[in-house]
Amino acid sequence: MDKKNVFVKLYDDFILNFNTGMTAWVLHRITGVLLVVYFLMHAFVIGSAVRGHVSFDAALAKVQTPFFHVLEIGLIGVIFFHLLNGLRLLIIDLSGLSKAHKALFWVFTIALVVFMGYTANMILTEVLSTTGGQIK
Amino acid sequence: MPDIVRSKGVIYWFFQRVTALLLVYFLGTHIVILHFIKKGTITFASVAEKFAANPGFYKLFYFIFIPSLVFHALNGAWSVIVDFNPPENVRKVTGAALWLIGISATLLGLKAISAMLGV
Repeated sequence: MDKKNVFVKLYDDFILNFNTGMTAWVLHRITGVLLVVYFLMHAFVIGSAVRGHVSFDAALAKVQTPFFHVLEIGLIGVIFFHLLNGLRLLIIDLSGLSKAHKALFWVFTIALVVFMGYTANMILTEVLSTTGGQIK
Repeated sequence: MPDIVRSKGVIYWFFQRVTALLLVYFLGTHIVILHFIKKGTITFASVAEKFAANPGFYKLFYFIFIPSLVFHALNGAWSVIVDFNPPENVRKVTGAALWLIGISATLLGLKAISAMLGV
């Protein structure tokens, strides 16, 4: 059993011996777990609709604050990383493009960065214009 | 019947891929509508109004989207749990818990959508 400090092991695995496939796999796992946790909270909030419009509006009001809108940038980033990497896995599995898996990872990463730049700009502009520059 | 088809794991793997493909469209559309097209605060009335404009589409949309999402999320969670190689009794309990959560979440989601569709 390797008794290396976990941070040393992470440094060895992800920086010294950077491997695109493993990094994509680990990030897919982490974003997947985050999305399951978010999904359960989302089901709880949206599920309030079964108790009528008053419950739903009260639940939604709690998560439609500037602070939560800013957190949505992270949520969209996590969703679209998982979605694009999942699409990459489907392409690799179904089209025989496994030799291009590294190139696909970087193409999708660049697409994600550009898309998230646009999304963050859009959400922050909207939030800051409605709050007069304050986020809370 | 070939052995590979008899394995339940392969069927789950296959549906994980099928639901992934469905979610690219359904989740992508859901996010675009809610975060890029919608204007103003979301309320029960605003969602009901949007649904009333095209109830057939939204009913079909969410009745495919919600079960696909629940399956994909919980089957994904199961894959992560199994990777830690838990003992058989832990597998059974977590498997049963995931089924229970999945059925409850699907029914809750469909009931919430039905309430906003007014059906």
